[in-house]
Amino acid sequence: MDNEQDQSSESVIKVLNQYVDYLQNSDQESCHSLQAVNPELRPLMACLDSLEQLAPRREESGQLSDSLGPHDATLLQATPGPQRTAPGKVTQFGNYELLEELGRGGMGIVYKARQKDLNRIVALKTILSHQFASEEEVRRFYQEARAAGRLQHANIISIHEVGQQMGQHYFTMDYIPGGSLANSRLEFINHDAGRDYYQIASLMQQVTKAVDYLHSQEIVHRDLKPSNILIDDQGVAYVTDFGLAKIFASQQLDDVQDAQTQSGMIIGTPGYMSPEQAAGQLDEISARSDIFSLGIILYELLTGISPFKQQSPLESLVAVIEGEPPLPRVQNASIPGPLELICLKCLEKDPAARYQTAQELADDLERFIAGEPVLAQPANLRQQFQRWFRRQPALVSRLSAIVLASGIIQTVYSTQGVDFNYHLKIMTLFALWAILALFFQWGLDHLENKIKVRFCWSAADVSLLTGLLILADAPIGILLIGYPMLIVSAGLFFYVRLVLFTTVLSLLAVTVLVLVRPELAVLWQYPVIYSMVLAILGLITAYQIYRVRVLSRYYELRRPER
Amino acid sequence: MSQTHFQELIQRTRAGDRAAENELLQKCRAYISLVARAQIEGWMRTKVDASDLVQQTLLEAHQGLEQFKGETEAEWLGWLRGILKHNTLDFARKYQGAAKRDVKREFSLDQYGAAASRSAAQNWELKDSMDTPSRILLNREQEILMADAVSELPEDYQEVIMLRNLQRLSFKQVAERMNRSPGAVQMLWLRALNQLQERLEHP
Repeated sequence: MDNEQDQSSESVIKVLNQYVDYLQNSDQESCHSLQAVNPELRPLMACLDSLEQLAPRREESGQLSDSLGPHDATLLQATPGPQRTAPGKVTQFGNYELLEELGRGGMGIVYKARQKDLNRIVALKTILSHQFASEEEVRRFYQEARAAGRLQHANIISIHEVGQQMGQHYFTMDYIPGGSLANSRLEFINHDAGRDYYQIASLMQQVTKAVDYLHSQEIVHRDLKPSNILIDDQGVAYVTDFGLAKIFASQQLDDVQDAQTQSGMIIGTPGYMSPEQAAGQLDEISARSDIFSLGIILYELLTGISPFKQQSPLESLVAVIEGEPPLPRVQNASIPGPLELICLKCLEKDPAARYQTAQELADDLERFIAGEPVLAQPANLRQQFQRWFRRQPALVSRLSAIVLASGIIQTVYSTQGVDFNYHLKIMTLFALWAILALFFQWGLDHLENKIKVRFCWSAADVSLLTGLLILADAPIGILLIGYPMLIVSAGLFFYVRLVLFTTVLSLLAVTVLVLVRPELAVLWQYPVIYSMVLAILGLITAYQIYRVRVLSRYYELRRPER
Repeated sequence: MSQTHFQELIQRTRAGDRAAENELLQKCRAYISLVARAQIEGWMRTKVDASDLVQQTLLEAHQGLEQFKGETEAEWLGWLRGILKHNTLDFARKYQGAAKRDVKREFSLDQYGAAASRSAAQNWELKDSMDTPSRILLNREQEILMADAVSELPEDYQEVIMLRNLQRLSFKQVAERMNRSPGAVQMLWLRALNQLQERLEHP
């Protein structure tokens, strides 16, 4: 009995001691994961937290010894002193020594580590325990890691071992000195004067071949992004992080219940995933989803700009699903045309329009490198219009509405011959509206404060509509539908204040309209009812945005790295 | 004792209420003492009687009270910590000076000390306002309660916490300093933590 108690205290001490070490290293993420694994120790850990707050701050103790020097030199040399966490400090982790932190992501932290028994340097990735909802998921993780361990390819990081240390799951893999595409300073990419497009193509080809190998092993990577592509000193690219890769075969074996737990779970990185991933259409995800991600990486290598990355994950998702980035050659005219075509073909929203296999993409890249014509074709007229609409939806929808409305009015004028001056005024207003739309679109593309531009655009829309309604022939009753339309379309930008702003403006505009056109107020209760409905509509739209925002925040919390 | 009670104490103190000032300073005594010992002992690597340092700090706080411009307990503790830091530096210099009998150093020190004690308050206060966010978020009330709880622990419990948590020594080093086996020190630490947590929950 006593012995048992001793053993349990021993393990408690071990965990708490580890916790203090993390605290003193300011490693909050590891602290959280220890808390999560040992809920019963949380009160004690809270105690340790506040003790740590009491401890002298590092710069304080540093100042003391800095300004005075060691009070006894021999003593100070014997022990490393209060700054035990100075860089270069080695943490023991089972059979590994953690040498330095290489990076951290949503899954966990990657360390450069030394495997003691084999005396080799590896990369060790810890998995934060809150990633695992259940034992089942832990089992799945091991299963996948083992499956990934069987993979062997010149451009793939091999997985060595998967295990657990102090409640922390981890796996180890090849260590590649250098960096990832996200942070490496490759000369041919960063040389702004002249990027070496053949080098970029050949780099992409290596990555594509590795992805093709994964596909041949029935694995879809699902999280291809620059930080998952490592580059060594020789410029060889390696694909890593199969953390999210699901194995085709095991998914097919999954029963209905499993499909339920998986449904709607978006995996991947917003800004680097395909539209079908972003939309959560899990059964649509295929090897062609990886092709889309490869297209994003190629776009980024060519232009230096991430095509779909927005301020919030929600906006990134919307951009991937609906948006269209500017043509690469608009960003940088020196990009070779064929390479742009290859990139755009990868970025087709419809998987069937992309390259069907990674091999096809690699072949087309090969053709570009060899100077042969590539298979990717320039967009036809319909595709071009589609892309324009995705790129500037606000402008295109307004211009279309203006062209349609003025077309109808022109027809009426031509057939019925109303007063020319009146017709001229209306048409001038429409023309002004179109010009303003072009101007605001320019502002959206070029100004820093986009949200202000949207506010101004909304205000301009409401005023122009009001102007039009003041001019228009009576009865204008039906045309009042314009205001609800403006309010609802303001909701498309997921910004509650913009909706409320448009609603308030619309209410003011309706008031003005009623004052200017007394025939609207013949039955005074109608404008009042109309205004109330307008206000309610605005509130409902705002509330829906609020709801979407809450959901998106939930989603963000589940992806801690962003 | 709530945040508002603390702020009320600060306000009354600034209005010249001696009783409130006394209560305010006494509440922070254990806190100051603990922080002082952690700093000084961390540097000297031996046990030190820090009561003079605490006395001096509280005295200077009393004398320089009109220089304190803050309102919250966080600002108050930051201010105290600033004065303490300057005193700790003084203490350490004097100790070193005494060891070396370096007259010149002591002379310049006095000058520095006189000037510093006047300007210290503002300086440190500024410094503290640039704290890390996590520290700002944390309720500093907790720090005072924690310091009180630590000061009520038995002697050896206090010491092991002082060494492992406040001076950030490893258990191996703690064991050397306390002249016990690492295993014994670890068990002592666990018992100290348990008692500390109990005291905090049922004061």
